[in-house]
Amino acid sequence: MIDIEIRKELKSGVIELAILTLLQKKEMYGYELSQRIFELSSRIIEVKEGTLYPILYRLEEKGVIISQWQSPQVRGNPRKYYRVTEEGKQYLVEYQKEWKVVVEFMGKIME
Amino acid sequence: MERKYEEYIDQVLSKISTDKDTKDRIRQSLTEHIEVLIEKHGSLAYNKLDPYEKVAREFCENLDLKGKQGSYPWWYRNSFRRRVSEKKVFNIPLYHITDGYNPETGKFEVARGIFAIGPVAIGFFSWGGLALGLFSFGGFSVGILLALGGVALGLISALGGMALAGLLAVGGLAVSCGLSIGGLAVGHIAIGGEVFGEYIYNTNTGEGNAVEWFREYLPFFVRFF
Repeated sequence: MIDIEIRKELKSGVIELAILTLLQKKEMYGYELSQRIFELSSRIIEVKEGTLYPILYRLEEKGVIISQWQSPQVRGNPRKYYRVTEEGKQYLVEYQKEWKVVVEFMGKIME
Repeated sequence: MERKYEEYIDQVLSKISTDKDTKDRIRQSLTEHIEVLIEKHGSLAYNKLDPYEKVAREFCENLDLKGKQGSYPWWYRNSFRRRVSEKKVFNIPLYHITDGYNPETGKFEVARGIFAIGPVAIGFFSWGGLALGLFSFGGFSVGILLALGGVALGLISALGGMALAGLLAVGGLAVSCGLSIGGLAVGHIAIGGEVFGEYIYNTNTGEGNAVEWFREYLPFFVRFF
């Protein structure tokens, strides 16, 4: 694991966008989302349950994602799968635009 | 799900102050989360869980809720339980005071600082149940220059119920390579009720050859014999 810790303020802004982007590609359940983010961030960003679920609650309340209980195909308990709604897809496009502006801006500043 | 997991979820929820619907929602999420952990890690799943206080605090922060502190009396909530100085000397906090519990990790914490106070304290000046330092004070203290405590071990000096030191030991039982003063004193120079050493002075009988040593090397102290 890389020995770097992303500060909380920076992390919180990124996770919501990461969750939405991942859910747009594939429906996932909570634990799967946290593991996927952990792996894709080279095991740097660890999204704990106390952070993950409140974000999912908020996104669901906004109507940008919806959830559905499903039983796994092989074995195990039912899991709550989340996916992006049509409204969510539009929301994500706007969000990603904002993100690109921020990244571009920060890139210029940090050059 | 095993009882211990249900109790864990109850403990998390007991620290969150919110309405029933939100609590039910959190319970459902945690139950699902733990069930996946059990599927993936079996009996080791419990070790993968964060301390319940930490999980509750994260939920509170991210849901803009207030944490529950009602289980502690007001004087404990407002007491001086943990302070870590931001100012550092040689990369060591100037002071670190703890009651032994680190709320960020949920684990036991050793006080480490120039001034360290805690159940276990390590510092230049340390004070605690078990204290290690240049100057240490505690139930069991180990000090380089001075150790003071129930049991005191000092490289130079020690004072305590049982004091063991290199140069000076004072206590009920005092043992040193130099001067020992105590009920039972063992040392090169031993002063006390029961004495064993090269130069001794028995305070009960007023006898011993230690006076000669003092007369030769530290005459100022002869007046005390």
